[in-house]
Amino acid sequence: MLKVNDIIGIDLGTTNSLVAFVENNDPFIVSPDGESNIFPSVVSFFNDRVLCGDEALESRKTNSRCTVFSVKRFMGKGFDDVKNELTFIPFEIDANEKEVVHVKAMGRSYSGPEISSIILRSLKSRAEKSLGRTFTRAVITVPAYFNDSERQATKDAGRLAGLDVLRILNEPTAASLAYGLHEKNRGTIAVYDLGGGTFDISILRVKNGVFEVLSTGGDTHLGGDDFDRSLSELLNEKVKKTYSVDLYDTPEGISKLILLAEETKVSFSNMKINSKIVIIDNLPSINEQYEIKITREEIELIFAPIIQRTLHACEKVLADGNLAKKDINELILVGGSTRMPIVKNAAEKFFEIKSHSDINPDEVVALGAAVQGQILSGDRKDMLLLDVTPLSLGIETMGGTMGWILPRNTTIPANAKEMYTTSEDNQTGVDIHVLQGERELVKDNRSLSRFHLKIDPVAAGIPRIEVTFLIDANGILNVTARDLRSGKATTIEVQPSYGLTDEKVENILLESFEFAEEDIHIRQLLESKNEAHIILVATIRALDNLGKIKITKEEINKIKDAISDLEKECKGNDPNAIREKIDLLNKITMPFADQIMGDVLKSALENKKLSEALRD
Amino acid sequence: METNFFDFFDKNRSIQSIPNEVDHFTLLGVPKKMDLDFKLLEQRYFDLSKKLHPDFFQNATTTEKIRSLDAIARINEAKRILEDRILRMVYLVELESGKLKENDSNPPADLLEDILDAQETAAELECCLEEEKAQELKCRILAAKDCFETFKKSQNENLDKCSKAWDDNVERDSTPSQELVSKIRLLLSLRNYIENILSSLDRAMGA
Repeated sequence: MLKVNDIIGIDLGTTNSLVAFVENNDPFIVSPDGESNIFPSVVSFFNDRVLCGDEALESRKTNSRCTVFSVKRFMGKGFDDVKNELTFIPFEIDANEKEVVHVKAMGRSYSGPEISSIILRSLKSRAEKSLGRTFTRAVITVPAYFNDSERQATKDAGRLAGLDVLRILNEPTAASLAYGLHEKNRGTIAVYDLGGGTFDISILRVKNGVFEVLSTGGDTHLGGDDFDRSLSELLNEKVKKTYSVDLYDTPEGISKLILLAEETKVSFSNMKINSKIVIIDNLPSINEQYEIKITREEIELIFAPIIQRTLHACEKVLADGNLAKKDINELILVGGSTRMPIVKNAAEKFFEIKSHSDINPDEVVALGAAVQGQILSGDRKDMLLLDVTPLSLGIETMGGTMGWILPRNTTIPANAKEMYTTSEDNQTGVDIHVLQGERELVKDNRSLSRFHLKIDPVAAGIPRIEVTFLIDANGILNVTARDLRSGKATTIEVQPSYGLTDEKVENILLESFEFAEEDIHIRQLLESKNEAHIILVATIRALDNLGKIKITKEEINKIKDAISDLEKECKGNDPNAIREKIDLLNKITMPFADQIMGDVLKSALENKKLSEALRD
Repeated sequence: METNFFDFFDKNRSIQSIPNEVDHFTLLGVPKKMDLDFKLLEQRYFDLSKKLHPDFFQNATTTEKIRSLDAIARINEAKRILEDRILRMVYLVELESGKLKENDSNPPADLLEDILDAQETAAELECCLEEEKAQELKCRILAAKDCFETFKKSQNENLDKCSKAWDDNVERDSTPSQELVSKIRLLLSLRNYIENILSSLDRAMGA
């Protein structure tokens, strides 16, 4: 039985974003009448209003200090990660916020997820306006090479925008879904995706509707922006030489040069010209008009090293998948940067085949996201995507080295179990430091988070704590722990290294500047469902792993009834009714909470500040 | 011999939780043997994925959602282990005769001297500043690596023979002899040992 599709697909890009939907098995880009399919990922802050998309892009020239672009480059990152880029950024990065990059605009600090949420909310309302219905569920794409923090940040952005993010989907995989729809192709596909800020290469095998990713790789800091930056540097050098002025001295100058670099790059892609005169004018710091000549040869020379980096990644991915170039049957080019002839030629030459570009490379990812949305909605059952984790997962071991838990390119959802015990008598806890990356030493890898396992104080070596590291279908890590001696779930305190804590997300939601009446209802609903989910998961897992715990069949049935009552209520739209059922389940399990669920459920129950606060 | 299957669905057609003790072979429904029919594994893996993947349970109850997530994670893990020849052998041997201890293997007696020698050379290379001397040390390490690779190859052939003997036993529904089990355990430990040496030499060369 097929369900009606109610899930939009969103390509949240570095430069541009798109929203797509599937009707009658046909994915299409959604845009309000008369507007472009492409929505610039730009947010401009003013005293009295916030602009987004084309309007914000327009104000990039006049309001450059408070106009934020390429925010995707900051998702899931800390201040130290981006401080080398500050020269190229005309807007202000808040130096006081070390753990999560914040942008300062109009006297307030905004995290990456907050700014992305403004873009997402605009996309959501674009879809609603043009299709005449409301959407609360979405699939959002990310670069395949995004790590856990970057994915989590994207999910947070969705939540802040009032969207239930059903899946964080890899962009190259999304592209292959959009292609797979039309050609019932079998075989091995390479997806070369060079976007505004990121590069991905994925190899997939398609067989009978199953899209299986074999290996994936890339660079989350490599894309169109890098071409623009190197070209703007070249322009500045030429200006310095001819006019003895350094335009990099002012934010307006940098902004202007980057815009001109982008325009120049595009005109060399679209036209068969060999040189171009770039005119620099309208800058407050200069009173004349500068003219700079740029040749195709010069551009190709400075772009070559950037392209070479993508080809290195391609080689690595082939090796990872135990594949040779001749094994690749199809090459799909995705992302605006593949429009550049020099990029297209380099990719085709590398894989020794002609590329597909029947679907607009700017739109293919969003279309694929919509297809995945349709699959998740239950409206399509003949396709299935099996993706992989792009980076190896490990934990810190003695001497600051990585202890591998899951290798990169493991199919997700994936789990691995590790046993922990104590080394000292009466030790009350164990710290686990989780990392992602391929290097031997902890310091060279990406720290994801630190977990503190609470352990009952007993003699050394007695505790047997089983920790499960689960990477879900979004590529996001979930950690649970169980005391094998008592069968109880064990509390884990999570400290994300580069992310917003749950509490912070909730606070942002509460103080959100745009708190429309209907928004409140949707938020209440989403948050109560969120809370119900946490409690349901803890209770169900506990019941599935009863072990030695004594509980009568009757009591179990009572809990099960309360579970299914709550589940039924969650299908509805009444946050208060959901809260009531949560309280009911809570009441029934309370006598057993100590015995069965351990501290997990108790802490889940305590963690309901937001919905309390939202309740009117 | 019979292949075991796990029933993922209960009589009401809803997903069951998978007990910890269900092994990878049973989970994927492939014969519990050292040798693996890759075609069969892929077929079973795709069939199970199409039935159990969380993508198809987005509108289901939370119970089913969690169970489908856990089931697919277990299935993916089983496939990852079984697809790899060595991981599969270690898994099966451990399943039948207990955990192999880490670090309990002794270096192969007839290679002991070469191993010590190679490790010394690697240590020397790490603090060597002269280009010429470094080249010479690298040559010596490469030669040692060749020797260990040859050893690994012969051990691999031994492992193949032993796993064949194991499978022959299993197919006749008899238990592999204690002697055979010990031999495979020893071979796997030796292999692990030599792999560690090889990768430590690679690291020394890379640095």
